[in-house]
Amino acid sequence: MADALPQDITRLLRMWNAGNAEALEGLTPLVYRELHHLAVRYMGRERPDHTLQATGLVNEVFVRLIDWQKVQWQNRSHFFGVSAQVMRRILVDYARSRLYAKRGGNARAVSLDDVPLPLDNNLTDILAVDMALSRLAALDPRTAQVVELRYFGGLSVEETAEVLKVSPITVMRSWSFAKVWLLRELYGEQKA
Amino acid sequence: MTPERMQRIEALYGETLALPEVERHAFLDRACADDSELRREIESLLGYQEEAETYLDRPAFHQVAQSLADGTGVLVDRMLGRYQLLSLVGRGGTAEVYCAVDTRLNRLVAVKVLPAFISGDRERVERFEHEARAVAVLNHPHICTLHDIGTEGEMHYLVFEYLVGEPLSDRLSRGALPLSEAIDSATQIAGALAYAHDLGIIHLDLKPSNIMLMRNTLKLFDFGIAELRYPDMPASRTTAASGTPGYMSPEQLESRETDFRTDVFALGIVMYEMITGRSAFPARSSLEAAVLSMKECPPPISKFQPEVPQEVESLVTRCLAKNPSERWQSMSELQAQLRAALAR
Repeated sequence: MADALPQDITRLLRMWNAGNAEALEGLTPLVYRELHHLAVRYMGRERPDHTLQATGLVNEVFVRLIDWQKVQWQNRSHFFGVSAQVMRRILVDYARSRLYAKRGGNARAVSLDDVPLPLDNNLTDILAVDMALSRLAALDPRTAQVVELRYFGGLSVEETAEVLKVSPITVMRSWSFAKVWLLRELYGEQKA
Repeated sequence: MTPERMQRIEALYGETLALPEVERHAFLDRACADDSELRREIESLLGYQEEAETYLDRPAFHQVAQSLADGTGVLVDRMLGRYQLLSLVGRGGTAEVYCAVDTRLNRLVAVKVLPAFISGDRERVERFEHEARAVAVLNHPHICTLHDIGTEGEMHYLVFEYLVGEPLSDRLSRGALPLSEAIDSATQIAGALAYAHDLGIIHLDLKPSNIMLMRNTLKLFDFGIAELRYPDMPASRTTAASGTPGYMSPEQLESRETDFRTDVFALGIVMYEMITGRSAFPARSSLEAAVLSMKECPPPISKFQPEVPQEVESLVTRCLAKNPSERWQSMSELQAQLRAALAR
């Protein structure tokens, strides 16, 4: 795909927010490209998790690419909320496709080892969190939203608070509770 | 669990967490006086508190980028030297295999890229380059040609002839080959190996997935380059299904000295599988397969293919001797035997 123009991205996000599922297809390559940029930095000796601020990076993908002049969102925080949802969808789809990928198609042209792609903890984590998060949302939508914004949207505590119109300490409490709840849900003993 | 109950739990959890540890017990005594279930719930959640401290520290975006960096096709569309990588077509050993265009000669090639971490290990890089130079000498109709080796930044890569065909492993998943075809294929493989052995190069990783069946011919690849060999992560459960240990000779499994007779053993296994359509050492795990290959003889070929001539069966059996000195002592000798069998 040719480089998407900022106005396209703005338009796609707006379309997606309005319920047009196809807009996701236009956004996906853009997110992938940004993923690749970051991955290349991981591949080198540079460790992004040490040299970069871990939070605030994800929505930067959209922030950097958006044509702010054309944004007619109610406000900036609404935009963050939407980009977190988009990111969740794209990343979860990505993880699922990687984990379930069958090496068909052109894989045949050059022979491969019979080794299945190794189980990737980073990717299984994402799927597991996504599923547990849906269960959490049924019990406590607000707390689930905090996780979506923080984990999938990459927002800082302050940004999350801004989006949800609550105080940072409330975000911190929800975040802290959500993490223990998710951990127990995912790794805890099976409940009777 | 209801949303109301969840809210109660969340609130109480927050209140408990805000207290110094010594006060928590008494606090819960009071707060959950009539509700032991609630108390269990809070205490169970508190048990995860320490672990939760760093949990989900990195946003999902970073985790995906990390997994990409760990080697799943990051390099598509990149140029490595004069090669433009088009698509990730697989993995062999620790290498990633890309279909690429040689932009100078305008032809398709297969580029195998070694992971970046290797470049930090000078000995490993030197061994790799040494092996690649040796393999580059091979020029045989049944061996996939190594065109080029290169380095781009920290990445080392090999450029091979691009093969269009079907790996023998895929073909075998549909069952045995007709006997004459199996012997013909084995003869071609033995010819390629005999040629390489004459030049002092041992394959050491011969297996059906390293044999490409093409129109009226076949080619061997991943010759003699340790970095392209089976992943050396024996402890990992994820590699247990690799199947490669099933093709390793007892001397490889026991880290004894290997020589050209190691390839004789592997060819024996490949022949067994081509003729019977069955794994020589059927096993649920690579460890099990390895133990079988060290200790057991596979069931006789005639059990599955009664019409296979006795001399073919004993020819294969001799390849599979646990002790190298009891196998065929040269690949050309085996090749001659196969030719004779083919003529009959």
